[in-house]
Amino acid sequence: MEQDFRSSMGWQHTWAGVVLGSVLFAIFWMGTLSVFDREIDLWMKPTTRVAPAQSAFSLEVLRPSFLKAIAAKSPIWLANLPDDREPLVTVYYRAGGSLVTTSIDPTTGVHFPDTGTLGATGFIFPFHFTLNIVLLGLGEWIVGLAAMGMLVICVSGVIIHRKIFTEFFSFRPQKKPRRMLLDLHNLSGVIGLPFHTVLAFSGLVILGVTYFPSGMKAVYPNVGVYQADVFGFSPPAGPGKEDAPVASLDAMAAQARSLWKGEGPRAVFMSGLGTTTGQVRFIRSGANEVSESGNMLTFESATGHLLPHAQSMLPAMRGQRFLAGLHLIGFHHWVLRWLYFMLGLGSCTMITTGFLFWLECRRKRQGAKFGFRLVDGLTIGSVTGIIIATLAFFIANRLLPYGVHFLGQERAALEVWAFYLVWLTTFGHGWTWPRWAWIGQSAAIGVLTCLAVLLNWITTGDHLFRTLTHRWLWPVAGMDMLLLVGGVLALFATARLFHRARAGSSARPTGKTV
Amino acid sequence: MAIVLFYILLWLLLFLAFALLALTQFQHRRATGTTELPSRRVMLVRLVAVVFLIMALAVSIIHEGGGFGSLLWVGLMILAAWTVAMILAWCPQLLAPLAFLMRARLSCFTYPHSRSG
Repeated sequence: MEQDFRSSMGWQHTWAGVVLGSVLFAIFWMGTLSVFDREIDLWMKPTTRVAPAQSAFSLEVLRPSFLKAIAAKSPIWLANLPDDREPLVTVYYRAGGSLVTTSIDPTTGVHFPDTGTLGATGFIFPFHFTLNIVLLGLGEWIVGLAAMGMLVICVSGVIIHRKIFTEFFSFRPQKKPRRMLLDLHNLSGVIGLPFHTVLAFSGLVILGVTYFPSGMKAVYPNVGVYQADVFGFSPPAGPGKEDAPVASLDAMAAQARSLWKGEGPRAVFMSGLGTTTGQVRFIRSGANEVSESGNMLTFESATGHLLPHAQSMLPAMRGQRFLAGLHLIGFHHWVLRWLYFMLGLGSCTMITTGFLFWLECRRKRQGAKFGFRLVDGLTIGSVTGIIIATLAFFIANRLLPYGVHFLGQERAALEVWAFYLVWLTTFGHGWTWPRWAWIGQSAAIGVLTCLAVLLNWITTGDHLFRTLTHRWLWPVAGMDMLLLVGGVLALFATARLFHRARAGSSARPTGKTV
Repeated sequence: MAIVLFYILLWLLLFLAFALLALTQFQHRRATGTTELPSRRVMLVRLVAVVFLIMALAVSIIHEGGGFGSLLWVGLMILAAWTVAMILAWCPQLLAPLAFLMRARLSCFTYPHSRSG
């Protein structure tokens, strides 16, 4: 009975892993990069590499921006305020059906030119939870299914692990590839289990209303009223008369600060712009706590009067906010941020070694079969392929001139096209030349990482010596150094794989029979 | 600088806890070139390791608060366990002194007639 249960769990673990592995790797890879999304943004948007403001600034510098939004009849206006990770204000509003994104220097009010890229916050982070599939919200549903699958795979992995305590620390790199891969898969799976499960679960909790909307629908008429209730802000008001003024944002911010015991806002959101029922919402920074508190204060935009707000959150909502904060890392804690990055790479290692173990177990018996070759190519494209595609995204960002248009596509879209075309090519490469694909793609990673660092230097003048000696350029230095470390590791892996492939070729019989 | 030192010390405490746990297992003791521990000493070392883990959690929460402290503890714990596993895989001799130390006679835990330890 026990054996049957264990073998059925083994079957489930194997096949759920093979089917969902590619999606899971993409989610974890993009999630790992998203830990440093704003730092990657600074690398991809060289014009925004400015020293942060030394003193407090007035929110009135943003007045010209929201006046533009009122003129463009935008329904909303959002300003993300600067902090220790981002020196500029980033403003979003709608104009003529498209989203306008502007960076503003908080001390001078100078508007920076369009950066011509989505960057990490516009492409890599949304990819993490939507796979960039917006049709019918399909991407979010696939990610949710994969997260649910991840939880099931983790549980079944623990059940089928025969020596979970005895081999807790066991990694035998000198053993045969199959044993070594299983060791590494077990090690990264068991040691990183708290991270894998909590991140998968909290991801599901964040998008809970998407996956389980019936609870919300049973109580609230629409999402707006639901959000107003759970986040404790006044619900959006109905339409009002136009040409109403907007009261001083500084006065509202001061009131918010005093209510939040000195803590400032991280963002300002306006709705019903320029109307008598318009609202200004200040979102609390929350930089010093794990919980994504989402504390908001709403003011009447015309008068600056504070509207009623909930004093405390319901316990269930506090739990939800803690899990959301734990996943989204909105807080400012550099050690934790680096730990998340390393643990994310650990999750990627677990998925990769799971794939490789599956392949290694079947290579001799089923190596020529269609199913094996399909998974082989899928693994190559999913693992090294997405890394190469990400590097292509970075390199396209450094190579494409500003304002370029090609086949009706703008620069930002062309970078995304570069990502997808290169990714598709790596899958093709994996399916066509599986024998040499790992070596070739590892070498490509090694070369492309060095090229990205070199191009950053050539196109911006920000070489490593300069970025390391200027405090505000440390995020750029960090990105360059991580690229170089990744490149060296990839070239080392290439050399080892090449040596092994050569040794394997020379050991193989020549085909002559005696 | 003091804060960096705190994180390093916290990691070291967790590393020590996991190294002790690993070195109670036969295959890792063999890798470090030391003999197996008596079962009573194994129990004692594991108890010490658990105390270190709990101490690290307490220190982390006192210093960083409940939310950050618990996250930091889990994150550093995973990192420390990885480091122990990698050292045992590639350079187990580094842990040999600790493995020898674990066999040291402890008068407060050993009766005069006892041969264990």
